[in-house]
Amino acid sequence: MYYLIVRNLGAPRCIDRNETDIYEDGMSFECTPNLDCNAKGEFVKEVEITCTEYPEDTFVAMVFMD
Amino acid sequence: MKKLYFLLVGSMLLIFLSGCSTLKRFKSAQYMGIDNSLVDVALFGTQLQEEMTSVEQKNLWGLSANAQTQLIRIMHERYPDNSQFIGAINNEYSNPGYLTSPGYTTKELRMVFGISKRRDYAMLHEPAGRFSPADRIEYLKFSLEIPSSYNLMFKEWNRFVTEYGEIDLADVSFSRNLDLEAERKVNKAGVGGKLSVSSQEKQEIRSRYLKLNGSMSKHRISIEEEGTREIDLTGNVTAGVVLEFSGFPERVAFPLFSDTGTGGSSGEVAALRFVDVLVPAMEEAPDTIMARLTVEYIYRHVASGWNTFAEWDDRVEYYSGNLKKQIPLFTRKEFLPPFYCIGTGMEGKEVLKVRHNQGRTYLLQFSNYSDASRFLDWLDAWSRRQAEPGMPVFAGDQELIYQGKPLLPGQVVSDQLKVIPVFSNLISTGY
Repeated sequence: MYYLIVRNLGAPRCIDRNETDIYEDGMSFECTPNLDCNAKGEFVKEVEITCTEYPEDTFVAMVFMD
Repeated sequence: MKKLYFLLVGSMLLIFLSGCSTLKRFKSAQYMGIDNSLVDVALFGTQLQEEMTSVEQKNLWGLSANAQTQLIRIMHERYPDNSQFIGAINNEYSNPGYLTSPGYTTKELRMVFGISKRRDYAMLHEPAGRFSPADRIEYLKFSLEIPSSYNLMFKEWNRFVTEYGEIDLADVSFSRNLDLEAERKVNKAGVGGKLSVSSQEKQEIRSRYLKLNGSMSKHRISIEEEGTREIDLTGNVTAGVVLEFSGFPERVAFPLFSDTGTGGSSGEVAALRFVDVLVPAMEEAPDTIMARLTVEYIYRHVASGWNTFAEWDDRVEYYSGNLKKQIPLFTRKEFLPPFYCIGTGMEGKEVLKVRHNQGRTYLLQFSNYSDASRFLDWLDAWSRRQAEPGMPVFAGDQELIYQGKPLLPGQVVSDQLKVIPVFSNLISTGY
């Protein structure tokens, strides 16, 4: 399973998960959900995403897998 | 003969007086070079205010008379029991849907700069001395720059206050002369004095005594002050600006209780309303937001002639100088949103979440300690009343999730859930 995690003000938050690595730069996600993810997964990559709630800015998100 | 003598003396006096007019700026002036030790600028006070997010809540008493009558009639039919009826008419009704507010990202910052000059009285009569009681700071330019890494930018000027007057602003730049009340203020400050200043001179003073310029870009503000004669820029300057962080979305819960909302323990959670807000977008939360202060000045040193108040007889030596320093703008506690959640720790799955109808889970976070505490009180009381410990807990129609599963009444008591800050650096609750 792959997890998409954003970190803001020092607090990490899992906003999406998928069985395959679908995550790429420029994708858009809801950033307010807080899903249960495996915090001890393996780091895969960083991607730049936008939040659907606030599409003006881009944010760096991390992809983890277990 | 005597007449001729008086005429001669009179005309000489006239020539003398016109030659000694205080309209002259100085007797002589010379630029002497750079001296960075003559002036100091310190930021000794900041005040930060923020717009708080508010949810527009309505109750019966905010409706029109006609709507009140109709709603009371409906409530009377629906709740024949007296206590239920009273509870129902005090219900609060929020606007449906989500509201978006930038409340936590916009800050009004008021900064007080103390501008001082070196007063080296011990060197008063020394040739190498660079201080006299008539010295003044004639020109001052200070800039404040915020590193772009903070995702923080200046938005607009609010207010600018000097020793000589204040101006209210709402723009990104300004250029003003402070002149309207100059006559009164000059006399009040004792510059020149009422008796020694002719009406013509008053007119000259009134024309302009302080020129102010301000400019603003995303990460930098610049203030330029230029005093005309006898105006020393030493003193305090207050600059009010509006700052704005880049935003990151958060969803905050507002519990709506069935009682009047005064905090009584009898209230039931009628619904959870959610509001999308923006908080500062920063991956990490630094202890202090720092800014870089740069000051340039022109110092007017009176080498001789400082024993008179008038400036026309001064032999002036000009020095330029500049200084740079890092100054704290505000601390982490001042820009972190004071959000609270319920759980046993912020790590992993130890906090309460809420499952929305679409199946997604969200952190159950409140915009203040009071809401979170009251919700926990309700949760605790409700859980203790439940006869079936295996029944999932709902707040209104929202299912509560804990440790990845539906929350059970027994867990509220056995796990000793408590109110904890969402952003863990915010330790003090004030309760």
